[in-house]
Order: sequence, then C-alpha cells, then structure tokens
Amino acid sequence: MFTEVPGPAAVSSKTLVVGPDGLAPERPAGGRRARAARRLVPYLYVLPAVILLLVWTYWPLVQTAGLSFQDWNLIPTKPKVFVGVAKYAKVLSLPELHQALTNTVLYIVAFLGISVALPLAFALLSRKVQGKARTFYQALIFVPFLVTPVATSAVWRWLFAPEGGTIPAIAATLGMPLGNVFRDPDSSMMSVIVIVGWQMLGFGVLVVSAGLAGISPDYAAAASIDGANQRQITWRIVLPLLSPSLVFLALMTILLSAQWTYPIIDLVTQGGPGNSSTNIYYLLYQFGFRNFDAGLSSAAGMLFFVGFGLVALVFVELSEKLSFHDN
Amino acid sequence: MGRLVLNQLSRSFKDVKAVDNISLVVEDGDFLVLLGPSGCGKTTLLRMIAGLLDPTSGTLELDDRDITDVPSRRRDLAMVFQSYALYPHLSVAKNLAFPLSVRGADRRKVAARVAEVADMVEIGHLLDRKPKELSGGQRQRVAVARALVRHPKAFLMDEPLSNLDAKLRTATRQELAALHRRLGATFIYVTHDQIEAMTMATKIALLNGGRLEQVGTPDELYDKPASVFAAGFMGSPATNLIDARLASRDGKITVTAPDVEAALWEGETPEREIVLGIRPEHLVLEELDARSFIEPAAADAALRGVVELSENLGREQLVHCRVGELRITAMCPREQRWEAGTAVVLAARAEHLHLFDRASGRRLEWQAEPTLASAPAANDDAAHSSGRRAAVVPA
Repeated sequence: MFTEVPGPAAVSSKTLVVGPDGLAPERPAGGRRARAARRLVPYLYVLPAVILLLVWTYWPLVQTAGLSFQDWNLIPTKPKVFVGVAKYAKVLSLPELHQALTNTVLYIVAFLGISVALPLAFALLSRKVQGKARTFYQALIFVPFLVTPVATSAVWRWLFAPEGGTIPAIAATLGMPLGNVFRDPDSSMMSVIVIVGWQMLGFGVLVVSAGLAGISPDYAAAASIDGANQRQITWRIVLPLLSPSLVFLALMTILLSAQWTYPIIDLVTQGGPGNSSTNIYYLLYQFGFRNFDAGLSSAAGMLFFVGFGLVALVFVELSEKLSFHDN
Repeated sequence: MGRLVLNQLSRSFKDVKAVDNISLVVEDGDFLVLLGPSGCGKTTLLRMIAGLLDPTSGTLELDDRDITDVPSRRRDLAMVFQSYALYPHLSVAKNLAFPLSVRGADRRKVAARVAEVADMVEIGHLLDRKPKELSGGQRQRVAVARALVRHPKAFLMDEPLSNLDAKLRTATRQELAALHRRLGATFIYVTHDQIEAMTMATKIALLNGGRLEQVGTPDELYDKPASVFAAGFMGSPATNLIDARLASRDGKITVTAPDVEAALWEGETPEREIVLGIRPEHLVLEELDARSFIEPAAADAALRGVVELSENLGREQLVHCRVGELRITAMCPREQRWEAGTAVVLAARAEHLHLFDRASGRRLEWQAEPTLASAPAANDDAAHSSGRRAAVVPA
C-alpha cells in the first residue's frame, strides 16, 4: 500500500504563542494608527521643500497671473484696478517687445552654438586627454562659470575699453578699429554674447563630458571590431548615445540663457543703445521697475511663462524618445 | 582560415605586468579557452588580440600576417563582450546589420544575411526589438549573432556566459560548442569557469599572474597538471596538496610526509622536497583497524587521519579528514557514513599521485634513463619499470 508523503506542516514560531481561547493572540492595539503614521513619514521629509517652492515660486506665479489683469504702479497705497486683458493687448502691440523677442531668439541661437555645438566639438576632440591633464583642462574651462556676472562684466569692460583696452588695442594693430563696442548698436549684442558665452562654455563642456563618460567604452570597442572607423563610431554610436545629454543641454540653454544674459545686459549695455541688446527678461524688468507698470510686466511675464513652458514640454518629450536604458 | 600566433606578448599597466611574455599558437579551428582566476591577464590578452589594447612588447600574427599594429577594424575578427555591448539605440536587426553596413555592404544582401543568422540562433522573432526589451539570454544570443553575421577569421568571446543563470549557462554552453563544431572556425574564449573550459575547449591555456601555466587539451590539464597551480585550479573540490619528501629506500621510490607514506615504483632518486597532489576522487577511505596499520591492498600511498566533517552532495559525499597538520578531502560513495572522530586510512594508487618540485612548482615526470631509453616498456608497466629518474616538465 502506498501512503502519500504529507507536505511540511504549517508551523511558525508565532503560532506557538497561544491565547487563552486557544487562538493566536490579537496584534497589539493602536497598530492601525501607527501604520498610518509610518505612511506619513516620507511626506514629512519632502514637506520643507514643498513649502519653500510654494512660498517662493508658485504663490508669486499666482500673484503675477492676478497682477497681469490689473493696472497698478507698485505703490502700496494706490488701488489695483481690474482692466481685463487690456495689458495683454498692449504688450503684444509694443514694438519694444517685438525687438526684445527677436533679440531673445538671436541670443538663444548664438548660445546654442556656444554652449552646445562648441562644447560638443571640444569634448569629442579632447576625448584622448586623460588623467590629471583632463581634470586640469576641465577645471580651467569650467571656472568662468563660477565667476559672478558682476566681476565678469567689470573685467570685460576693461578688456573692451575704447581707451587702453586690450581687445581694441589688438584689433587696431590688425587694422580693425573697434570703437566703443557697448555703445555701438551693431556690436552691443555681440559683446553681450561674447561675455555670456565665455561663461557658459564651461557648463556645456562639463555636461557633454559627463554624458560621454556615461557611455560604456564597450560600445566603441565593439563597433571598432565590427569594422567601424572613428568617424562612423562618432556618428553612428557616440552621438546617438549622447543625444539625451545634448537635448538636456539645449533645453537648459534655451531656458536659462535669457536669465544668464540679464545681469550682463544690465551691467554692460542696459539693453541699449536703442534696445539693440535688450532681451525679454531685461524688458520685463524695465516694464516693472523703470516704468512702474506692474500689469504690463506681469502680462508679458505670463506670456513668456507659457511660451517657455511649451518649449520645455517639447524638449522633455524629445528626451523621453531619445533616452535609452543601458542596463 | 584563422591561425593565430602570439609571440612573446607582454602588456604592463604602470608597474604591473598584466600579461608577461606569452607565446602561444592557436591553430585554425581551435576552440582555445583562456582560463584563469580573476586578474590573471586573460581579458588583457584577449583585448590585445582584438586590437583594443596595444602590447608593450611582442608580436601577433594572423594567418602569417603581422597584425600587431593593425587597427582592430582591419583585423577581421568578431567579439562577444561580457556586457554584450549591444548598441542600445538600435533594434536587434540593426545591431546585427551593423558590422555589414559599416563596410558598405549591399542593403538587400545585409537583410538576407541578418535573417539567416537570426534563424541560426533562433532570434528571428526579436528583430524589431530594442536591446532593453530583451532578457539576458536573448541579449546573449543577439551578441553571438552579431559576431556571426560576418565570416571573421576568429571569434573572440569575453566571458559571454557569466551574466546568465546556471541553467541557461549549461544550455548555452552546449549550443556554443555545437556552433563551433558546425562552423569549424577559430574560437578564443575567456573564462574563469573551469567547467566551461573543460566542456567546450579543444585546447586550454591556463594563465596565472600574467604567465602561461599550462597549454593542453582539457584531458591533459586535468590528468597531468603541469604545476601546483594547475593542480589546485582545475577540479572541484580542489586537489589535495601535501608538502612531502621524495626519496628512495630499498630500491623503491618513496614519498613521505607526516602521517603520509607512499612506496611508488622501483628506482633511485636523490632526496627532494616536493608537493604531492592527490585529487579527492582518487582517495579511497577505509576505517583504520585498531590492531595495526594495514596497508590497503591496491594502494601505493596511504594517509592516516581522522574524519572531521562529511558533506552530503547528493550524488556523493565529501569527507574532510585531518592528516598531520593538513585537511584532506576525499570524495566517497554515500553508502557508508563517516562519523567525525573516526580514524581512517586514505589510500591512493601510484598513477593517481601528482608530484611537483617544491621550489619551482613544476610537475615531476618519470622518464627512462637514457641508457635504457631504447628498451620498449609496456604502457601499463611504464610507471613501474625500473631505471627511471625524475625530470621537471619544462614550463
């Protein structure tokens, strides 16, 4: 006769503790409340950050949206008058805004070259630099990013000074008299681009180098054994794998370049001469704190917020598409 | 064709010699396994063959052509990486097509070849997927397929099975060996896993500390380890290694160590410090008779010890015994239980004893005296025939 071997008996140390009724004792009281408190803990950790964001970012955003429908000159005793979309209509019709918008686009295009294309070329060309030389070279190129805009502006004003400035002096010996670059409508914008570009280049090189370092050298090795030459490896392997970093860098450049240029514009050209070097952030500042038209400034600010928001959305979508998971 | 000659190849990283003066011939059609513990230089050696690392000195020849300074893309090799290195932004089909398309091959021919290779390794249904959508085993197949898509002179593989689970590894091992037989191509395969080496290789190159310890067939490496390292590395559980003294007494060669005595065959030899190696499966365990120490009938060597621990492996058991100062492991059938504390004799036959010079670590072989070299001896008796002397196997 066969007997079936039973499975292991369900015995655990817990059931050895038996209550007076012969059953396992109940779990200690208050368990539910303790569990709820435990679930709350992670939210407590993020609470300080959330509070700061609400106070310093989202509440001002809501206030700006409110101000954009009102006429107010920033004097606390003066009443705010609701004017509907009148400020939006005005802002869209202002020629200064069109000039600032065009300039902003030109600035962005220039900075895409300086802080994306140029760093990409630098990083690809300097891949063979390794070890201590690499650290030194990267520090060298990144340091300008850490210099405050005020100091940067001061130094570049000296360099560009019409009387005794190094750059005009060199240009003069080459037969290209520069004059006062900050006071010439043809060169004022270029001067801002050079100064801000000098600062942003290091940031770009850092991001691209980090992106390159994140690509396993196995891919290039595999491609070279597969028969690819250096150019094919760069175009068919390295660049596609680097594209998420480049998209991130382009997005940062677009969103931040307008802010990075603001202090330099203010310190070097004040947007002039004749709005030739202004950009939208500088215009917002002028609307609000030179002309004391809070409504106009807020309306323009809301328009740019929506505009940049859309740009950011497109780039986030793009980077989702390009991203690969290397595991 | 794919005949590879490594000539005194060395590679140093700063002060460390990763590969130290290695000379090796890989014949066309060989499945050569570069075997050794981690840090032995096997991957460095493979990367030099691939052209990913320049040798510090020495030369490489492929089919009688010096390729030492030829860039890897012109070496006509294919490689499977430990990480597989599948291009993550390309679909499986494009990964497979890559080695052909970078060479400017005709698009239709590429598609046909990709389909053919995909069928060969059974990944036809995965061609549209990206690498991230594949399991580990599927990725491994894609990596092999990408190597197969051309007809390279040799296939290089860097621990291609190390990221697979045990069951899949066994199955893939057999498939790779079958693939090698079918293609008849030269394979150079790096692993630290002796089972992979034993099962797939036609030839094993055992490396230790950047140097070649032994080159031979799997049988040769297992049955005639050329050094103490080879004896200790090949086989699981490891070979028992005992410091002993070689001498001759009453016209017989003897090996002695604390609680170890062996009388081998007739002959004369000067005294010599040696290492005695005995594999666990060659030791026979017998309970020590309380009355006297009886030499087991079929044994030439006897070790006296006390059982310390026995481990049940299912198919057999490992019995660990204290012999002198050493712990000796014997692999025994499971019929008899061995309680800790039992006094035992571990017996082995002379042909299962491996003798190594203590100083050099090299294997000692018995050879006929030059004067008697012409006298033919029956193979079975060879080990027992008299008039022999110890000689060190050259490294």
